[in-house]
Amino acid sequence: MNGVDTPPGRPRLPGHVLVVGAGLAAVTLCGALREGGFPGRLTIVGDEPRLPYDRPPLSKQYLAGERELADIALQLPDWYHTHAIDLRLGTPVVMLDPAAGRVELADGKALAADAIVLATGGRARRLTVPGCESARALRTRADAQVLRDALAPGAHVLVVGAGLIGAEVAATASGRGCHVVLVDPNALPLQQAIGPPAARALHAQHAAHGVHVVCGSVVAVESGRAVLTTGEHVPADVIVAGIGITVNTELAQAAGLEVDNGVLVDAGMRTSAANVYAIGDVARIASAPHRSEHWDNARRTAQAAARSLLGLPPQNPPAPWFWTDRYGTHFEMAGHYHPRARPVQRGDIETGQGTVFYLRGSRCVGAVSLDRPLDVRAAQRLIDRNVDVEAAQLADEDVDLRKLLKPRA
Amino acid sequence: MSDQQPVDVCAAEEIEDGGMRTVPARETGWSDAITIFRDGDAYYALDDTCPHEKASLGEGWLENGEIECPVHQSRFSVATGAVACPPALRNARAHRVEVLGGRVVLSPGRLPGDVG
Repeated sequence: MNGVDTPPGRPRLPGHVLVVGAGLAAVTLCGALREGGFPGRLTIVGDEPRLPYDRPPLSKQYLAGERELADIALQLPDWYHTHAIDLRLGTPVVMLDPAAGRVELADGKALAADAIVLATGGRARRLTVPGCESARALRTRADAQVLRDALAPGAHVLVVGAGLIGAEVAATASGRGCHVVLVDPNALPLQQAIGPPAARALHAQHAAHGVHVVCGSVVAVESGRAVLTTGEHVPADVIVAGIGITVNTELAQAAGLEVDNGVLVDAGMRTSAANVYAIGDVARIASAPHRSEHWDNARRTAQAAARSLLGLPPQNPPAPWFWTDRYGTHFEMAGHYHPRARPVQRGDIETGQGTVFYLRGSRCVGAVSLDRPLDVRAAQRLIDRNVDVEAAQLADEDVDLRKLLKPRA
Repeated sequence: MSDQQPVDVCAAEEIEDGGMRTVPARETGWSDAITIFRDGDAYYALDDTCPHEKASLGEGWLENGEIECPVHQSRFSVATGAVACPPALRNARAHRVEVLGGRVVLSPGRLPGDVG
């Protein structure tokens, strides 16, 4: 393999970058490399047969039947052609040889590359209680298709797990006229992640929309009924588990890469093996406290890896951000929640529209918001730019938050 | 080209620098509301509905010549409507807007560079 010559002072670029996985991280990486002037070969190898698609709509508009596969494509088919990306779909990678810069595909072919990027994502965790073999999960387009066909009006749907995916599925199913039971062992799901006021605001939506919320778990499923730890027996024509993912680290592990709740990477997304990178859900930045599974993280880690591959230094990561849409409302969070951070309310998140900013000293460290996304836009910039703020200004709805970002005269 | 008449929107200074104003479809006859953006002395106009999912760009965040959708953070150049950041894949429709005699005049359906 040959590297591409670059101007003096810049390291040699890899001649061929191969990405294992074909989700958001993979597509973002290839786009960022081309945008950065990468002239070499780009290959994406994915195990799913379809053109790369965006996953967030799978639990929302796609599941509701409002959008089709073509509507949720990550890029239009022509994009791969104009960006000279060799897209190999429906062919899982079964072996990674970092030293040789080589992968083997399930169809027996082998591909060599100067840099290999693992963007293998994760797979949905399955329910393991007795009798639940028919329980569905929601991770892929195929999962969503099966589920969408099953969510007929009047169907009894049991959703296990009231985190992001489970809550969105419950909302979509309820919107389709299903009878929904939502079970979670936490009395207030997401509380640790988004703080109590936002968690209360979101969780209360379920009951308000006629979803039967149970604090507990499933013991067993018998002849179309689920037995819950509360002793309740609930009818369950359809069971959906939204209980998290298991990351696809097998290739990395078998290749001897360092793996610990994800493939360990540095700030430039380099794994422990030379010329092997990891991005998206499967990657865990070793110096960070958690591994992120959010959409925005997939993009940002891809952009960070692109910088590394282009020979550029890492940038400071911006505040993390995610959203969830349910029952016609739009929730967003930027930054982090910390139980000791000072909450500052703007509007009232628990009675409709509002934002809670979290402050440590004079700095905003996080914000959660229901139907006020511009407050979160402001918070992201307050966090990223280390702006000193006063709680009274954040709480005062007459203060234009954009003005807080302007350098003071 | 369009046979739609130019619309006198407001006085130029009524839109503050960095600000925007959304003109409802019924006032322009265009198929969508149109949002006018001011950046310094320049004015730009785009279809208000985000090409990605239903959201109003006029409720977005304007910075560095780009409008960021309030819902999923897609960004568009306000000058051309070109996508600067996904998830949107399709550009926003840009319209010609100019300041004539201190008034902001919008020409729905005409492209920004479309003179005459």
